[in-house]
Amino acid sequence: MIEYLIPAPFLLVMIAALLWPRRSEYVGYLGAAAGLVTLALVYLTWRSGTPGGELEWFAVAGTMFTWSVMVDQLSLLLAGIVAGIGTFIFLYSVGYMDASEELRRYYAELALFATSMLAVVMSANLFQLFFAWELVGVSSYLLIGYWHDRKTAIAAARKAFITIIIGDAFLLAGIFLLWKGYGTFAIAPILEAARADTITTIAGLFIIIGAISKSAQFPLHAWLPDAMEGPTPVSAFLHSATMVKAGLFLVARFLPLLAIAGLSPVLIIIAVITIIISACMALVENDIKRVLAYSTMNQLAFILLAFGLGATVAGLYHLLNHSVFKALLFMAAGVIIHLAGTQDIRQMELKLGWNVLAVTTAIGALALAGLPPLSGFFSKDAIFEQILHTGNAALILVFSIAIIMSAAYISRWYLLIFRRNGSVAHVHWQMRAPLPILAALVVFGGLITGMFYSWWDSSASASLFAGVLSTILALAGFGIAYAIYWRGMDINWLSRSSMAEFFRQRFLLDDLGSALASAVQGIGKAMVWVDTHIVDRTVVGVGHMLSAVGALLRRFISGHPTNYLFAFVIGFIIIIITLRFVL
Amino acid sequence: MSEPLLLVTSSIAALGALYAINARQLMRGVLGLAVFFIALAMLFAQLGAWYLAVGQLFLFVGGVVTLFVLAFNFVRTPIQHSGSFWPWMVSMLALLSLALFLPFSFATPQGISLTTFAAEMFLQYGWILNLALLLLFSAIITSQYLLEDT
Amino acid sequence: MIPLIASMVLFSIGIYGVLSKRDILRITISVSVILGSITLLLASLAQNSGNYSFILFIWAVEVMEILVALAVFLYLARSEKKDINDLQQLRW
Repeated sequence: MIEYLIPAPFLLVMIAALLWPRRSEYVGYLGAAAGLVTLALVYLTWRSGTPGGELEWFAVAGTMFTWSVMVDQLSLLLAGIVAGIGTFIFLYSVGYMDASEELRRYYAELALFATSMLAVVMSANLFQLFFAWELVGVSSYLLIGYWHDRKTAIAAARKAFITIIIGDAFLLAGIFLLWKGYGTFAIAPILEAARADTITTIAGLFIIIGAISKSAQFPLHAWLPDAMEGPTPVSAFLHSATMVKAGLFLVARFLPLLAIAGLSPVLIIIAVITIIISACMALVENDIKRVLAYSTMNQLAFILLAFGLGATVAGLYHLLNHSVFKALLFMAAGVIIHLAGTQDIRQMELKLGWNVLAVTTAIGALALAGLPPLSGFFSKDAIFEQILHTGNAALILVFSIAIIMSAAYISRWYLLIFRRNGSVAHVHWQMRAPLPILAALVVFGGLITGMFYSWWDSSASASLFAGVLSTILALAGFGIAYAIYWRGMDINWLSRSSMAEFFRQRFLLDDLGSALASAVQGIGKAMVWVDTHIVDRTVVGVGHMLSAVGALLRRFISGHPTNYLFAFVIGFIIIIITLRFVL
Repeated sequence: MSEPLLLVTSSIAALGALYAINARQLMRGVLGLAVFFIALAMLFAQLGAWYLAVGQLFLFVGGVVTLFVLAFNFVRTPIQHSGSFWPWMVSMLALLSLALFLPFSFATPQGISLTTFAAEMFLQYGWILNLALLLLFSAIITSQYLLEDT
Repeated sequence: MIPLIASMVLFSIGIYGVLSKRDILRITISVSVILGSITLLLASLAQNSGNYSFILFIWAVEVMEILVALAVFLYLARSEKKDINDLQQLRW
């Protein structure tokens, strides 16, 4: 019974936020409390060992729609991530958001997101999953455009929503194709009966497209950098730790089906392309949150690559670790923005010393680069291990370069923010408090590797060679960034090159998308032209024609009886002729 | 049913109708209408419908034409007669009595009673003669207008 | 045969008179000509059977119609309206 209640605490927070009469700070604390309650519920559900169940909801044309809950390692993992990080985010928001604003809407939207995300991960049938999926997209749109008097925020929110809707359309088509092929919406029966035929392949492809749109992989990635227009807690929660993981969750759920349908190469290709372009774009980006957005894209592509290679557990482990250190990094970025008053990292000068901020940010950055003994090392190493196992030279090369680049871009980010001679200042305790806790989780997170693998009934395979190699590569990346940004090596020839400019223009993919959108809009404009000039004119023209005919006929009613008599005689003759010759 | 007679009567009717419509003076038009009705009566007689002929003459010539003349005169400015009307009146009365008593000139001298009067008035040819005389009388009256500008 | 043709000729004369004249009395005269032509037609068609009595019905209506027409004419002539085209109230 408990498993049905997992989305409930945050739902209550949303209702409370909408009805809250006074100062809205306390809703933030309420949200944090709800997060803890949800975490407790997840733990209890795990302990009780139920596989889930279903409640009947309504029936349409013989198909029963149910509210069903599936409890397995995947759903519990994601639910735990959402609840845990959600707790921190709600607390952090109290300190971050300016209390003079009207924040009830913010907390309500945040709670809506948490509820729908939990519904997505816990649902056991596709119809319910899609319903919650859409709610997740809606709350993302609302939160990105939260500061709705900023034109950039509104444009970014619209872009995100449209991109996600494209994915949603494909997902819905995929769901219905699966229903057509397997006769049910329930996920477990579909996975059990998975076979390799055309319907499964096409449906799997559509599901991949839906997942890509939510997880910001190529080619539906363009919305993630612009989504940083939203408040930083939102970026930390949605766009690094949870919502973008929803797409990967979907891929993980359907991985058996996708593998049987032979779509793993598709995943690998998408992941590799995304790795390359996101790393390139991260190296030239100057906005503090956008760099983190590109790194999110990068790390998610690592996870997708792991899924494509069949290393599900490794990918999920990286998913867990990435959520933790990315949330840490974003929260730190929020503190940095508050302190520096700007979002451009070239203009920041914070003190690099033994203060809480610098240390926790460094822990997060190093975890992203994959340095031992932090948690990020273990999960990235696991993926690297799987890549080495495949023996594909191109793949190994690409991944090695990706490790170097990821270390390089995050080091660049860190070194541009924290200087030798910077300033130190004070921020609210609510903002400072989550940082050390999350940093501790990152530091000691590597210890649960064995436990994590055994939860999935598999074992971690680790080779010393892979670990040493990945550490060397990460240090190489760090060294490059150190040389350039700390020692001041001159790379103007590189940063002014057209290649760098190409990266800055986001590989012109955004422009491609805009051109496509303009083309579609052109169709709409053509329709409007047709409607105004042809359809409307026809309709009005009919009226004009009728009144012209009326004016013509009016001249017969002259009032002169002679004319009437004449008409009478003519009509009489016509009647005679008709009677005689026609009838 | 002799063809030439039919043709002649029909053409009289047509000419009368045309004159009735196109005459410059309205009274002459009414006279043309009278001619048309009389020709129509003659056609009816030739087709074998005696009673129709008689009815045509009674109703239309005697009634409708008279009504036309009456209506027309109500809206005309009155005509000033020059001289006295007594001679005209006496001559009209004489003509009337002549018309009424002319049939009896053919009667036998047995005596004039109501039945013989009626027999003479309404027998086969007597009443046609009477009708003709009435017509003549009305024609004479209407011809008074011919002599005047209307 | 001749009466039929004659009735058609008289009918057309009557129609011509109705449509081309502007004086009310002259139009009434033309109507009488039309009706006369019709009675002639009916009489010639009924020649074989000898039943001429249908024409009495037509005469009755015709006489009433002439009476009403003349009464209307008298009413209108009081206000000096002798032209039919002056009667224009029934127009749009």
